[in-house]
Amino acid sequence: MQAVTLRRWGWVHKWSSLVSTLFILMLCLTGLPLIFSHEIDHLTGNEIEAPAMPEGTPRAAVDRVAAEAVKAYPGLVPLYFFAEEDAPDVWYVKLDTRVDTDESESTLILSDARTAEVLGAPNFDEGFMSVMYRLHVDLYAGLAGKLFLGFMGLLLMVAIVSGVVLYAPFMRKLRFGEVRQERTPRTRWLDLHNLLGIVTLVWALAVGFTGVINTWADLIFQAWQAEQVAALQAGETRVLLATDSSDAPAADGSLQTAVDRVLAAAPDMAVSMIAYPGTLRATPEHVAVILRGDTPLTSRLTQALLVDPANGEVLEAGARPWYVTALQLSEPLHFGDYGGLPLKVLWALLDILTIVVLGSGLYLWIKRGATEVRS
Amino acid sequence: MMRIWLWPVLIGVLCTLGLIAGLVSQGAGDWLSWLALATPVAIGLHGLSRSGARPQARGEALTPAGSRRAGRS
Repeated sequence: MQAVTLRRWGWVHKWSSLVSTLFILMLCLTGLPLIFSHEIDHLTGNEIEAPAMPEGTPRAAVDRVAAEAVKAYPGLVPLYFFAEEDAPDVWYVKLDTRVDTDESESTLILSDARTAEVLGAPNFDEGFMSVMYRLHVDLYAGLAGKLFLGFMGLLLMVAIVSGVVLYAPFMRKLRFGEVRQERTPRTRWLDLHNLLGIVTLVWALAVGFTGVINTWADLIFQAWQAEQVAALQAGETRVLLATDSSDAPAADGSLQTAVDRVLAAAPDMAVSMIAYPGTLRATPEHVAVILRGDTPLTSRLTQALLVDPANGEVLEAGARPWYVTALQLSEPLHFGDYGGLPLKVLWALLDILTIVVLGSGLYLWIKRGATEVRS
Repeated sequence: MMRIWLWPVLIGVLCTLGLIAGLVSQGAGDWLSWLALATPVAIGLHGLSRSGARPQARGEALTPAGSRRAGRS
């Protein structure tokens, strides 16, 4: 590589790193406990569980779950029901003052799916894990904070790519993995920086870039909602279950019947989420039922069906767009939650190695004077 | 070129496989992803531990480097 080209890449690497390093370090440090948030909640007793009942206990209608939730939280309306794969007996219910808020002040509660009883509200708003979460996700600054952290993530991508370009000239006289012991501490840290940087490359690119995509989640869902509404208005929908279909209970205006009709239209799928009309995930007139499959991949790649609770018609307003697929695949690849505890431990170790890469990079910059003078 | 990039490319391909394997299949896929992603961790920790033998190495190397730095300031 020509000296001029090399200097330019060096400049790109230096400045993309310098601008983003402190934020990326913060993200790596706050992300570390977040990898294990499920386990930490479980150990600290922060996890709310439904009482044991005989298997096959019938489930309450979701309308009753909603009514109990509203009774316990007067002044709020339900927005979403979430079903977790590993906790089939509870509904997570999200409530807010209106269906169309930005949801930053919303309340999430747990309800028993069989008795409709409100089990409690997980303590998301205070405590150590909440601070870690907010620092990691939005710096307490809402969408602006998310987009800012996303931009820092993009700078990290630039720093990684330019770092790879610089790897070759630095390694010209070295074997792979060689850490020169006989030289100054700076040389040793330079070799370590190169070694750790190159081995964590693919993981850091994957986690970094999927993190950037996650910062766009709100915008992605807004775009999808607009697309679905546009498809509805243009009549470009596929009717999966007609109003008068005899395959399912007739519509009676209730949410439970609407959901049952969706499940009748999509056999072999399970409910992942129910969104009330007017929320970000639905349309103004339709309930959206988000369904998931039962393999690791299809449980992430969900299908959204719309149902009109008044007449029971079940629609699919266009297939899932590519950018929603990208977002849904980004979540597991960022969280590292798809391969049990061993994968989480590896995620944490790779995170720590990345912290060493960032720290050594900063050290190399601070000590840069020594080499420049010497050479 | 080949010499410089052989290992990084192999590790990169292995990590890519590992990241995808856990997503598309459970059981065998999980094991593949654990083994594949353990590779960069093992190489990285090995590199770190070797430089952790630093105290002695530094003791020997410190004199010339240290005096050079002292002389400059």
